[in-house]
Amino acid sequence: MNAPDPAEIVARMRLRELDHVAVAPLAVYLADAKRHQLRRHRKRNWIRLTSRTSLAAVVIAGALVVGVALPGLRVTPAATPTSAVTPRIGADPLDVVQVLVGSVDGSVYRVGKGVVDVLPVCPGRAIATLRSAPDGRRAFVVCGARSNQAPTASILDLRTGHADLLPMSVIAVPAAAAWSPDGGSVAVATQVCAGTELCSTSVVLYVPASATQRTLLPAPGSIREVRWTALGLSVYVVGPPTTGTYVLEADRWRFVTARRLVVADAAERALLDEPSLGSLPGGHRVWERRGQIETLLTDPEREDAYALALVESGGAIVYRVAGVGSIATYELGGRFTERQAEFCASAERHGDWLLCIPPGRDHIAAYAISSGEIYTIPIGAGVQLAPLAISLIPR
Amino acid sequence: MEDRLDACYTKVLRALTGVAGSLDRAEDAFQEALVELLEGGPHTRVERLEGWLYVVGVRRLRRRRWRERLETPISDAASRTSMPDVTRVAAAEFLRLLSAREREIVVARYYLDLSYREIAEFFGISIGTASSTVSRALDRIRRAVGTEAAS
Repeated sequence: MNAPDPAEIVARMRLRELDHVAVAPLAVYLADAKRHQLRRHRKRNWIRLTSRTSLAAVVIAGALVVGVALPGLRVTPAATPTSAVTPRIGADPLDVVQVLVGSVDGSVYRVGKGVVDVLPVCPGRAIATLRSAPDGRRAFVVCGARSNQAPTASILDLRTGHADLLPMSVIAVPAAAAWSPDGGSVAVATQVCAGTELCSTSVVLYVPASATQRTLLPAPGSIREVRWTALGLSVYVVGPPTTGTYVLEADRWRFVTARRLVVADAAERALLDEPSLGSLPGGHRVWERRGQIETLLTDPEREDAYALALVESGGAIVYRVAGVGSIATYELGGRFTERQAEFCASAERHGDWLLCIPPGRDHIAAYAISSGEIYTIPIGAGVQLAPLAISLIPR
Repeated sequence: MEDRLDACYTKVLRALTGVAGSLDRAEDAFQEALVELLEGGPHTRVERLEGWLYVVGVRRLRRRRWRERLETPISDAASRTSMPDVTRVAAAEFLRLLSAREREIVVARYYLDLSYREIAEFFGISIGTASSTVSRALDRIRRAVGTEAAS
C-alpha cells in the first residue's frame, strides 16, 4: 500500500479550517433565492439583486430617499419600546443595556429603549468587528474588505458618530480586537503580507488618548482572535507549530489550551470550543475549563454547538444547530435543557440577559437566562445584521 | 429536496468561501446556484447535489472574477495587495498558493471529497485533466511546505 502523500494530508488539514466559517441557516438563503426567482419571473429587470447585501442596500437607500433614516440621525422604528414580544415590566434587556450591532451594509446601530441610533461607518462594506469601550462612549470597528479595498479599523465616537481611521492592517474577523479593562488601550490583530503568499500576524496595542501604537511580542502562530478576559489578554492562534489559546504574561505568550477560548469569568472558569472535524453541518464541541481541568459539555459524537455564555451554577449556554435549532443550557455531565430559537452563533451576556444576532435578520434575539423566555428586539425594516458584530453597553 | 439541501449546503457554502476568499462572495454565488436549482436544475438526476451546486457556484465566481478584471483599472490592479475579509480563515491563505483552477478542483477533491470521476463529470473535463490539475497543485503545496519548513 502506498504511504499517504504529505502534501495531500496538508491540503486536507488546511481545508478543514473552512469549517470555521459560520453560515446562516438554509432558510435564509432559500428565502433570498425564492425572492430572486420571483423577481425574474415578474420580469422586473430594472434592478438586479444579486446578494443579500445589495438587497439591504436597496432597502436602506429607499428609506434614505423618503427621509426615514438619515446618516447619523436618530430614528424611531416604532414609537413604542422596541421589543416585538414586549417583556414584562422590569424585565426588558434595554432597561439595563444598550446594544450595538453592525449591519452588512456598514452601519452601526445603537439600540436603546424605544430608540435606535444609526451611525454609518463604512457604507457598502460589512461591519466585521464591533467592540464597545468600557466607558461606553467609543467603539472599535472593523469594516470588512470589498473588491479592491482592504479592511479598515477605526475608533467610533458614539456621541458624535465620527470615526477616526487607524493606520494599521487589521484582520477582518469578529474577534479582531479587544479593549483593555480600563479602556485605555485596545489590542488589535493585524496582518502584514509579503506578496500574495506569506502573511504574518501580530497584536498591536493602540492607545487612543495618544494615538500611538506598539507591536506586542511575536505571537506563537497565525492569530485568529484577540480577547481580553479575566484570564488577561489572549490570542487564539492556528499553527504551525501549535494551535490553541495563549495568554500574554510579562515577557511571553503562555500556552493555556489547545482549544479556542470564548469567554472566561472572574472565578477563572472558561468556556472553550474546538474546530469542527468537518463531518457535520456546523458548530463545535464545547468545553468548560476550571483550573487546569477541561470538561466536555456537549455531545462527544456531535459538533453541533456554538458556545455562548457560562452559567454561574456550572455549565454553559450554547446554541445547538441539531434539529430545529435551540438555545440549550448544559450542566456538567452532559444533561441539558433547550428551547427552540433562531440561529445564534455568538452572543453577549449582561446579567440575566443573553443578546444575540440571527445573522442576516433585522432584529436581535434576547434570551432571559432565568426564565428561558426569548424576546425579539426589532432594529428596523430592511436592516440585515452582520454575523457576530454585537457589543453591549451597560447603563 | 430541502432535506438534501439541508444535508449539504453548509459544506458547499464553505467550499465556495475557500474558492472565493470571502463568505460574502460565496453567498452571492451560492444564492445564484440555489436560484438555478429552484428553476429546475438537474438536481433530481444528480446523485451528489453538493457537487452540482458547487460547480454552478464556481461558474458564478469565475464570471464575477472576469467582470471585475474588466472593470478594474490597470493602475488599481497594480497596487492591489492581499485583502483579508470578514471570514478569512487560514484555509483561504493556504489556497492562495494555487491558481484559480487548481483551487476549485483541490477544494472539490479534498474538502467535498468528490472522486476524480465526479469532478470530471461536474466540471466537464476529462478524468486525466482533473487528476493532473490536482497533481500540479500538490506539487506547489509540497514546495510551499518545504519553504515554510526551511524559513
